[in-house]
Amino acid sequence: MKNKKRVIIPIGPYHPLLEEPEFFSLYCDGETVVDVEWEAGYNHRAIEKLSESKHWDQVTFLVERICGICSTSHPFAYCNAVEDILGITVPERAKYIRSIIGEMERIHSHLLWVGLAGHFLGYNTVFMWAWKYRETILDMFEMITGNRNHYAMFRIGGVRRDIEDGDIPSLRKVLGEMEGKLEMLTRAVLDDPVLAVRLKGVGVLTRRDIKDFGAVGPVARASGVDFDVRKDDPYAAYPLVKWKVITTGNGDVFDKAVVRLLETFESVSIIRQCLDAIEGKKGEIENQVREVPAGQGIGRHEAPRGECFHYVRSDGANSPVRHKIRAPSYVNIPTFKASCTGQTISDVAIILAGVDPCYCCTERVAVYDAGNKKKLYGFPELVEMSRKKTERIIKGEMK
Amino acid sequence: MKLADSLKEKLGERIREINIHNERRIYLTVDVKDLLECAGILFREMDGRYIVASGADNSGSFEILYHFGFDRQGSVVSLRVLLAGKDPEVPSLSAVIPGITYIEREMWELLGIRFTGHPGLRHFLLREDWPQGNYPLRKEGATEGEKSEE
Amino acid sequence: MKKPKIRELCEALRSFFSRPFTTTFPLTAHEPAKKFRGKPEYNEDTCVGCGACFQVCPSKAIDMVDEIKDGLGRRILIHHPKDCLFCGECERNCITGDGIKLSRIFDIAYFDEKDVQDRIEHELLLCKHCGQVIGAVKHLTWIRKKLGNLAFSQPVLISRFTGEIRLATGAEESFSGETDRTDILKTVCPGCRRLAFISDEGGER
Repeated sequence: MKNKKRVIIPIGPYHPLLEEPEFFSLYCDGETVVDVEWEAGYNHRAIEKLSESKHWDQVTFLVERICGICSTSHPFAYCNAVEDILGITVPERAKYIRSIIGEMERIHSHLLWVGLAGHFLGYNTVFMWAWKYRETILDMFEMITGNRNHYAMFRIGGVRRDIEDGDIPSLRKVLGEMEGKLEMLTRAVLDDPVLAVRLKGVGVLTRRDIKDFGAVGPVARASGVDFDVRKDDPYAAYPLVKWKVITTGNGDVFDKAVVRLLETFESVSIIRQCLDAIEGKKGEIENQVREVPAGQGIGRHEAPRGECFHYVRSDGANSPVRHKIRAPSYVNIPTFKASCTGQTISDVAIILAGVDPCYCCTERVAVYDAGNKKKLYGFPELVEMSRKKTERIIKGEMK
Repeated sequence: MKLADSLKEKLGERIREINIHNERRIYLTVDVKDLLECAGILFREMDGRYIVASGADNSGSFEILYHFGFDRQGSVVSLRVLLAGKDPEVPSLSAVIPGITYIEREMWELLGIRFTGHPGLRHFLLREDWPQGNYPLRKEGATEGEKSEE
Repeated sequence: MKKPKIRELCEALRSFFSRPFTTTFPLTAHEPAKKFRGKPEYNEDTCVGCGACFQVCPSKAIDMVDEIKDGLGRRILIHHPKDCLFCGECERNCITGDGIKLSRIFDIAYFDEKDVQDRIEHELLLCKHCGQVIGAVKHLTWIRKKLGNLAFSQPVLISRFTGEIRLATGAEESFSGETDRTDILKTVCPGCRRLAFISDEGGER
């Protein structure tokens, strides 16, 4: 039996390169990954427990701060859950406003992801450009909601602020410009031969893997699983406007990138239709809710990363008695076990990025030596390996 | 056939109680001894999607809700088991649903529900040296936080 | 990339020749959006000291301290920007509508937190029998104004009304030992009024 040295590479938990602390242990045989283990909890903030001590309306602000990138997704799902307990719907104008905010968030989140993916591959220009154009969306958020993140727009029974007619022309202008930039980024990704070699066939997830882990969002849609909460369990303005679900079939990182980029075009279309529906009209933006009766409710929202699921139970008092929050990354990140196994170490960084983990729920990667448990590489080394591989492809050494 | 009827047909006598909150939210209560079988039927036979599991402390007894998504009908079916006693035990579903190991670890460390047959029940969110027997999400463990003085 | 495509080249030229997206803050001033949610500030004229902002704040950024010293009561509301979410719940739930409003101040970095706190003080009306807090004087006056004629059903509000239209000497109300029925019409707190209701003229319960 040859002396096979199994290598474990640790990435994390705390590192300046990564947004939030995470921990993955990759068990490697030479250059190939054979197993992945995920350790979480470095960012545990006991939000479910805190929820039980906050008033119903205060919980909206608490869950908004679970994540900065998808900060609307959690209040959206939470409000859907409490409205499920009550059995009410929100006024029509509020539905359109909720969808507008949700879709603007999707655009800015996917642009952020495009930038990060470019960064991991070594395309720093893509990183800079994507984040530069993302700024215009954030400025729009500040204009409409008062803040670039944590929009404080949601309330049980409706929305807190209205979108004024005076703000709509600027929003339309930004959407028009955004379409051009998104077109450029999408074409750049689809046409680039280096990216094709780098990303196609890498980190493939089969439909079986998706089912075993319950993966959702673009991760699942890239593998051909046609599930989108907005279409299957409609809420807000999604059944009132025309749009389509983007699905591809190969399940590799390239497809995940394609799904995300094409989704942003759908988002632009949805926002435009919603603006047409509310411009020049007046309407109620809130169904006032005075108390929440005993019962249980489930609310979901298609966050940029997948299905955000909230389960809320009430006993008629002022606070939830149980609040279960499941962010999409909770089920997407374990798919590393399936997508990283059999891949080379230099691809790990991009496979990690392909899942778009909202790190607020997750951690970083570490690679150890399986034999003597020595730390071999940290995350910056892995990113460096990923970039070097891209360079080798560019130079034509790899096909 | 409507989803509720289809569930009644497939699970039959095992359903102790069915609560149809509305067309898209169905809650089924089953016995612990039927849990593995029912979860297998929902996950494999009826091709439900595993969403998450949520444990709750009902001040004296516990319950776990296993949430499954039936996306063609846009519905969520929640399988409920009621557990008695202070240190309840439940069979792990990791043989049926590979991805459920994480939430089972989390429910064990936060609520103290033991999952028999789990491949590796250890801390997931809390740190390794968390005091034994201290289950933060339990109702009895709730203490009012003091606002810290600067 | 070895051969940059034309559109990327155009984009590169466009980026090169256009203004950068970053500003030179703090060297240049920054004007936030009109609806920007900045630091909340109390309005001395319209805040009535009811404490609604204190009750609804999700992060408990507002402290309400009732101080009683030498028979005089003072309510201090302090807003702490270090805990503030800038959500606007305080503004939304303010009973007068503009007692506390979110300004557009965003530059609140500090060395000493007291430099950026916002405080407002109100006079408290104390129970003339036991000394407990009844409420802020301005709050009671606001309630009395809002109720109009209905205010005459509540003795404390009556005394607020009569106190305003007549020069108050402050020495009219006297108490003798235990509460008795006559104390209903005096400036007392709900606890004392309850005892007064279940007593008769002689102080028997």
